[in-house]
Amino acid sequence: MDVTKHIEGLVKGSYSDFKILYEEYSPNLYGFIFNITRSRSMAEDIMQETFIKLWINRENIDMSLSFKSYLFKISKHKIIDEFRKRTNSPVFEDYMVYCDQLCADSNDNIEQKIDFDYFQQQLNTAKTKLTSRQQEIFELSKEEGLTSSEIAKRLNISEQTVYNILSSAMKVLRKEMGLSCFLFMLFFY
Amino acid sequence: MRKELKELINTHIHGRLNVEEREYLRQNLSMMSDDELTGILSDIWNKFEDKTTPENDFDHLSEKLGIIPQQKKTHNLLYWTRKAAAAILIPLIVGLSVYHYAENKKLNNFIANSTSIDVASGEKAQITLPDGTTVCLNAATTISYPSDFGLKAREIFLNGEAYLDVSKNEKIPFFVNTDLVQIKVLGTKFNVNAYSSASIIETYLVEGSIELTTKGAKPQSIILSPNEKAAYYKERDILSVFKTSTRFEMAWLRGELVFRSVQFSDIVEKLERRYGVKIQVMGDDYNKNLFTGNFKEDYIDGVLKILQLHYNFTYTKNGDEVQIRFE
Repeated sequence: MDVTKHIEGLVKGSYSDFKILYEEYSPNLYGFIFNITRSRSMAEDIMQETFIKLWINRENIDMSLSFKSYLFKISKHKIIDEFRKRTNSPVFEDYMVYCDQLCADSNDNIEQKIDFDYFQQQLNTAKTKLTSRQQEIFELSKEEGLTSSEIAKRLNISEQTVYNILSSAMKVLRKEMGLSCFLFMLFFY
Repeated sequence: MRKELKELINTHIHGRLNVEEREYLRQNLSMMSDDELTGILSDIWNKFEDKTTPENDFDHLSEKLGIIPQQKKTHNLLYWTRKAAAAILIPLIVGLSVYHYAENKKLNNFIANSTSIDVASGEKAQITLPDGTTVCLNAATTISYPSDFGLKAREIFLNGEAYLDVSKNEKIPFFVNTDLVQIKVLGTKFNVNAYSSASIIETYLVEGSIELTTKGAKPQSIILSPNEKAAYYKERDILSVFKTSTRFEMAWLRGELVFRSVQFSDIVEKLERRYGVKIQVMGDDYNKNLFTGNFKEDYIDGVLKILQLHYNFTYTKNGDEVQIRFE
């Protein structure tokens, strides 16, 4: 494929050249972002946003870079941002543990079948089985990343109570998630 | 350490890190600058060959960009019938309108003096008012304001839900009127949920301060602080204030639906608005089972499939009409 020719076409506003470049490069970029974020919706959003930027700024494409590097240049802020968020997210860590449990072998690509979006949806469904207190403390701990002592202070209860409620909540969720995961596997294998 | 981190990031992208490696990455990544991280990711990206097909295709993207090339239309009999009908009807309608205009000059003058914006179900919109205030309108929402808006007064009328970022002007206060509540603002960010069909009017303050007055039998006034939500129960004429969070209250701006211990009928109402559909529910007792969860789905099917994991129902979808049957 003559990339330069298609880029020159794109600069002039050619719709068909844009489509050819999209079809050639979008699966690569989508795959890369998916592997970083493990989320289909996030990969889709960032990939699309990148191509939207590419189209809108088509007259100012930096021709000194390879096309692949240029794509990275216009998407890197979002990618880095999401990568940092994932690394620091307790819910994402739970998801990784969950994947570890489902498949001990890290090369077996369980994430393709159960992505982070699906895990979060399952978690939300499982959360409905919690009491409102359990849910509140679970969210403070896992979604806002507060420590037990911070939660104790905020809710004006003892740290031991926070710990007890959190562990009972986790017990319920583990049971719920285990079940839904089982259903999911039946559906896909 | 840099080399090690690069190796770990590479493993995260091509496989999965173990618990200890993830912990090490977490502790060290925060100390790494964006420039350094860019360098590492850029190297990995340049060698990255895998391809995964995204769910949506090119047409989806070009639709977003509005660059779908016009397809050649084939004209059938129906097309020409419509054309002929239009040729007769349009002059007729224009004639009638002119007649009507002359008849209802007073009414027309009034309409000409105010601007109204309607957002249909399933859609959202963002507008900027003449004073620079930005308003994000949720689905099935109407706002209107007089054409001299901003000269002597700043006043809008709202039916539905909107998030407002009001530009500061201490000389001319900004008023939001809904059917039963008036909100006075000097310059701040807040959300108003006031569908005339709903039993509660909710106002959530993000920044600054606002004064809210009810227009019920006995007017009540309250000044809200950030992160507080005022709920006015129309029938009982009660006004109360809760502490809540922006992440939760402003979910609709991100295209998300957030439910916390709600009845199924509340979910149905929000889904109808968000996706522009009509939902008919059959069965009984389904409101006893409360639901908590978040959705970020472009299409209603995704939401219904998840709800099915929680509730026991079957559904059929026919265009914009959905039928839900509880077992």
